[in-house]
Amino acid sequence: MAETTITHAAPFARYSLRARTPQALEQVTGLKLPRKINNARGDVICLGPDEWLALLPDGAKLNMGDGLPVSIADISYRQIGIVIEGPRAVELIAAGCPLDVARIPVGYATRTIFELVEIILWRQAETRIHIEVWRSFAPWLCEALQRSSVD
Amino acid sequence: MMRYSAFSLFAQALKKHQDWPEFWPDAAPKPAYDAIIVGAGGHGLGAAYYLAKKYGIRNVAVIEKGWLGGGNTGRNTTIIRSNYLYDESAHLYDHAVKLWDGLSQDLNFNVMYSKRGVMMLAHNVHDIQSFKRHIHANRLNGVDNEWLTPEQAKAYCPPLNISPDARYPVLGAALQRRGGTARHDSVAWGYARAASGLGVDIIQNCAVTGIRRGSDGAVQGVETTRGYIAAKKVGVSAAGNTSVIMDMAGLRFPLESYPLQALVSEPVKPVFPCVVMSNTVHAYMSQSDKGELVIGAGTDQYVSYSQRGALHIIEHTLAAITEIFPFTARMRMLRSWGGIVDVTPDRSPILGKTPVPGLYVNCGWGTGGFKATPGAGDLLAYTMAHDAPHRINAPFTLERFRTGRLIDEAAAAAVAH
Amino acid sequence: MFLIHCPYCDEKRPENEFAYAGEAHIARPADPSALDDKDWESYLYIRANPRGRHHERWRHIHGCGRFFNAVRDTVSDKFESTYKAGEPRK
Repeated sequence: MAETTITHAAPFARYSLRARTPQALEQVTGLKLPRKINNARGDVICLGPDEWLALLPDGAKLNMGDGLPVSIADISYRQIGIVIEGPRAVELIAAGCPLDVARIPVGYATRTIFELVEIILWRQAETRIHIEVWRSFAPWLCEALQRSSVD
Repeated sequence: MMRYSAFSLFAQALKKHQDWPEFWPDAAPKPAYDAIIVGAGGHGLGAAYYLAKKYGIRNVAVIEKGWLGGGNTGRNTTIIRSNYLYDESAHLYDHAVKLWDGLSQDLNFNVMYSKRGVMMLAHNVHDIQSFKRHIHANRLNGVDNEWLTPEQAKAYCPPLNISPDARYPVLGAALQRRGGTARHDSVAWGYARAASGLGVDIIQNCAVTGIRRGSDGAVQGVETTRGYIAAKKVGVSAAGNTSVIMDMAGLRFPLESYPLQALVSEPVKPVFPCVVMSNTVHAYMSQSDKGELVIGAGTDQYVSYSQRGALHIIEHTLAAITEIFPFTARMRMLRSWGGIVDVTPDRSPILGKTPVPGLYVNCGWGTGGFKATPGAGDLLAYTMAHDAPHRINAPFTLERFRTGRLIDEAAAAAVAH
Repeated sequence: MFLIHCPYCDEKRPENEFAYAGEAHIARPADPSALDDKDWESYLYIRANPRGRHHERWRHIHGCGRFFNAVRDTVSDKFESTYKAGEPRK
């Protein structure tokens, strides 16, 4: 059986996008935003009714929309990405996440928790899950994931 | 009432212990009493006992919707201490600790008060400063509390890990030696038996359904599932259900009721000599005389009357317990349960008169009412007998939420206790 | 652990993702200094705390981040419904 691996994701340019309507953000940034909460479209995840997260190629710059009723913040260094890949990826996450991870469809992405740590979980493929976690929680989370992979 | 003694034990032994009388008779309600206490927990039974014993009101009934001692009296972790920060609280809780001393003799019933000491662990500079402040404040109020170095703490409680490498190192501890535990059922039974012996009626399976008031607004009696019972003085000592009963008298209270859980391990030989609390790790533990490790969890976050809590709360508690006491990691937990605690905005109780003449209240003890059982009973009885609060409970009014004179002990309740 | 239906995500999600935020539909007085002590006490401290239907606020803090309202039975702990903030009391 193929091994399930836990690795650091490549660096991203991360932007937190907030506005009352997705159209306002699309006009400013030129990005296509998903409309459905907890879904990803391309590089962008819809986290809530007024909140999106863009994971763009490292170094990408966005128009920050100065003076417009939008909030676009560069959070590239606030969090890091962890990729879990392999046939048991779902099981690994289920060890600490109260969501029914096995039933989450590909393309689903949401903010949730792992034990007591807040994460963003993105199912990119049947056997690939991308996790975003705040930098200061990352060592603990990696340790917890490693241990659950040993279990 | 039979007086328990070595002689009574010997006499009963000769009869092969077949002839012990019941602790108290289960009474049926009479049409009228001089005073009624709502709620047959330790606090309510204590109030009835002191009304009859100290304040000369013997025509008293205690009415209870379930069974005696089946509410929070039977659902707590039996911790006794009085090391509270503010003067008002220190006097209130220490009044109770003074009554715990000698309670077994007073009731002629062993409540198993054990002064094994309550130790609060300091894990960081903030803890040290805060505990030392408590110690100084307590001493000014005549409440014993002392600072221990890690080595002294270890000598007092050998299972403690004082290694500086620990995840939460023990930098010292505050110890109240008069603190400890008592046997919760014995407290309820002891008060019930003694009160019953003085003529108090204890009426179980009798829920209050209404409070009848006269044209002057004063209390005339209570409607119950077993009929109307008249009384000019009604004391409500109903913990988590206080809001519901006060609503019957047209009063709205600053209370919210939350589930609070506790759990015990399988019984083991004596390994844990005192009560240890850690506010930082959010855990506390003691060992009962039966050998079970008694562990208190936190409250659930939402209002509920369900008398059960969620499993993830217990999970967090056990994670904290195994963090500071790794030896518990392989023990099995035997039972867990929940009670409904009534919490006030300032985490101090409400004990005194209400705007309705003849209606008195003892509530809002939140997560830590057991320790106050004799004191709360005595002060509720005093307030009912004199229609005025004792100077100890005078600050614990309902009006303080209007005047702003709060007694903010929220820090004392960092861990449910 | 509850499974709570978030009206914004339109999904049932585990209680761990939510923070309870007290009784619902308590509006902050528009002009606090015009209130007397009794009304201010009532706003700050007095709570319904009913045995039965309870209107309460929750926040999907580890999810979409939104506050919303719920009706729950405090004896059975069963949720009757949840609805978006700003919608009328159910």
